[in-house]
Amino acid sequence: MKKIFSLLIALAIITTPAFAQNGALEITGTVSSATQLDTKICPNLSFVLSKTEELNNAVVSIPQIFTGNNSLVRLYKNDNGISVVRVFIKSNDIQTAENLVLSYGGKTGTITGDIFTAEIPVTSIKDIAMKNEISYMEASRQVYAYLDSSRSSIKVNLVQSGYNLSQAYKGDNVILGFIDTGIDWNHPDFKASGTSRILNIWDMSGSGSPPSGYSYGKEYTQAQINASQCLEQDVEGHGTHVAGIAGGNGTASSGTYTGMAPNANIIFIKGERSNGSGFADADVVDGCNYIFTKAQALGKAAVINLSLGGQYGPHDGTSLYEQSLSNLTGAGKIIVAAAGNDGGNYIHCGYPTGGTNFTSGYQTLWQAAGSPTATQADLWYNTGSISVGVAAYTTGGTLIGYTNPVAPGSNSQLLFTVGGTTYGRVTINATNTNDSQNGDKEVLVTIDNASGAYNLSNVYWSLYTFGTGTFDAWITRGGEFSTVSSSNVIPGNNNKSIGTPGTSNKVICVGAYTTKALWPSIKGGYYQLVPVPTISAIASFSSIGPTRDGRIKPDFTAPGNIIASCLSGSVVLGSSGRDSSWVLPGAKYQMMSGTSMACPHAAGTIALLLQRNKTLDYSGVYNLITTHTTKDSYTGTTAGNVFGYGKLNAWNAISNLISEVKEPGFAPNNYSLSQNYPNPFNPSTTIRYSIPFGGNVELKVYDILGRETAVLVNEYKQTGNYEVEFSTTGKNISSGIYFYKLTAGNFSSVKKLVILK
Amino acid sequence: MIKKITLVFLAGGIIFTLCSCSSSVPDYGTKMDVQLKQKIESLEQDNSAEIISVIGKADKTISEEMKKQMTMQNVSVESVINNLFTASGNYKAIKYLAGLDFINYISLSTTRNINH
Repeated sequence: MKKIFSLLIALAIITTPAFAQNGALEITGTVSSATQLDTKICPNLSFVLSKTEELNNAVVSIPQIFTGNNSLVRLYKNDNGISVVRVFIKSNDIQTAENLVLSYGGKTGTITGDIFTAEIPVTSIKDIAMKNEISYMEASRQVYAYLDSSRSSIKVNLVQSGYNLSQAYKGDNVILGFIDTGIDWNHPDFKASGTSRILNIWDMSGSGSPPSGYSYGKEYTQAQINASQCLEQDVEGHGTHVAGIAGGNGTASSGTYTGMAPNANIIFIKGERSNGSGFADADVVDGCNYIFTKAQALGKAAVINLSLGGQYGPHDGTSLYEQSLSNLTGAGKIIVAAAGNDGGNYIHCGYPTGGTNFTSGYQTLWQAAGSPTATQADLWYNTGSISVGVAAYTTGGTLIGYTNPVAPGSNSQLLFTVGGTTYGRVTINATNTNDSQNGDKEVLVTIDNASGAYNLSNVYWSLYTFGTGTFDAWITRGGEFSTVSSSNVIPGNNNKSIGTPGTSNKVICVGAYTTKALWPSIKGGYYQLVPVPTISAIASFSSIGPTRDGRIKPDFTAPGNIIASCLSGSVVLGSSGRDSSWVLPGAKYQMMSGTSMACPHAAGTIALLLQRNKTLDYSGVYNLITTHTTKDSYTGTTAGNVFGYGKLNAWNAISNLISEVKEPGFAPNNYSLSQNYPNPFNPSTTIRYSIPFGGNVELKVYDILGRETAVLVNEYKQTGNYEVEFSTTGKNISSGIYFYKLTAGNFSSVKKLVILK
Repeated sequence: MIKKITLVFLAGGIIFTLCSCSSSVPDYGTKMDVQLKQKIESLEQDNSAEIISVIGKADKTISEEMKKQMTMQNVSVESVINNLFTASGNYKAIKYLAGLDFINYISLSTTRNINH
């Protein structure tokens, strides 16, 4: 990363209208004659607009915050270096109005009835105010805490405020579980009224008092944590950051960096046996089992966050690790995993091979980066017979030699020695010709440095294949495939780069998109990534699906690029540790990026769903979220293997979970037709709709050719919210795509449903 | 990542083909994944006492009696999830585990990393 404070100032000068001269501006002027715009904004905002036009094109610098007792309007420079003003907005359609604000690069905050707080670019005041959804806009005359961008992006702020719901949801009576690098249990965001919100910590790196039924690690109780008798530390800071996103209560930031489920309790597993050593699959399974067992004993639902993963395995949900995690889930037991950060890495290759030997076969170049101790490729295919070998090239591209091929059923180990020079030790194991879990064939290719005797980076390696069959191979460690391509050289790619356990059959898998590009640092000034990530676009690192067995992954995406959350007090800052450029002023929060950060946005949101219904299982959560995502120009309208089914929308999910969106007897303001749930379905699904005025209502189902398939409603209905069950039982309706159409008054809406028999 | 190289096959020159002796699958191998087989072979060669963690699968839900059998040869069983389990032990203990009739399959516990 690069410090770019001076660049940011330059950007501000170029891209923002000028308000200040001599470094500061207090706007205390009068208002001009009334216009249509003046009826929608307060006089102070009118004055800001008049100054915008007056000073347009002037070259000035804008301080981050204007202060002054007599200021009528306070202008700020937001995290992206844009001049913004904080406002109250009144609207009869809060969700649409919020989306409008976000589309102009603004942020939304607290909702009270039909009014919400927001931070909007000064240049957009007029455009936003003139939209039909906006009734009135008033400048904030006092500083108030605003929510960080990721929360409003996924509408968790609406859920936490109870907007158009029967109550607010903050994760009460739900357990948030984590298996990660540790947690700073002393961070204020994990306490409530001076008491720790952490019920237990299992420190797998500790010793002496393992949990009952286990033979390793040290368990701490809430009482020990409250008494500061806990020795567990998070020196890496990852786990504390992740926990803060899902469940921090924002105490140290007066609410600014509140997590998704701030009232949930926490059970934390420090899952590394030693710092930085990684997470053993078996330990992760033990940790999940421990959390669910504890939660069950307390009579509570739990959601577990796994911001970890790797590329070894069949990528089809059949490994024992994936099976174990899937089997642990159930009613009120949900596991969420990060998709992985290999979206920008060429760790996969796959193609239909051919030929009969090295020369007539195919190969993919493979570089062992940074002199690793070993690099490994795991190759899987289901039909055919593929022989596999390894070749090596000089850095100039001259073939040095190649191993003999290893046919299915065989294995081989040799020193790769040519002309007296040894380049590494090659092990090829093709003995798994009928995997007991999926019936497929596996070839594991390992090149190691024989305890440091050889430097694997001195040559370019190549994975060559011939025979029949189409395979997928993943680099599991220590390298990357090349994008070099020629007639028999197939380039590597980033497809199917979802890591395990994100590939499990009953684990929610989450990718990452960007909600922020710039942040203030404790070192002073602002920092941003170079190149600057595009807001709302997929994060460049977010792994791509599908799984090897063709399932769409990730399931959906959540904010994961440049996310502010809790900083562990055990992290060493400075030249010998964490670069403090990432640390926010006050040193209680830091910025981190990764699908690791997207994952807890989802886990926290699921905690809110479990608060509403603690018996939700994997399918319930999966269907609720994936059928009620946000779709935009980045996600497209159909599911794919980059964004999955779209962007997480917590409010949409929970409002569809609740049978009545509004309080009983509360008259709806608008006509609406909700997406059916579940969808796809068999044999029945529920469709909800609202009508603000009494009248004749038609709700009909049509097939893809437009033929009427079922009439669900055709009668006079009073004002209100309704739900209808559509069942195919006893009807001659086949699997496929259908449409359902609501017609009431002048309103008409069509949505798609899928029957899957 | 290799950005751009030209592959040069030594037409008419000497291309070295490295040969090794292939071996057949060890007897216990059908119940173990490739990584576990390799790990055990390596530990066996060194007669190492290193403890390794595994995830295993039985042919039915694991009962207390089965668990008792599993732990007889210094195998430490941790979690039991219906017919799946986590366990640890040295290579001899894991081989013993694989030899039990009701054990279907055992895989080596792989190390994963954080996604940051």
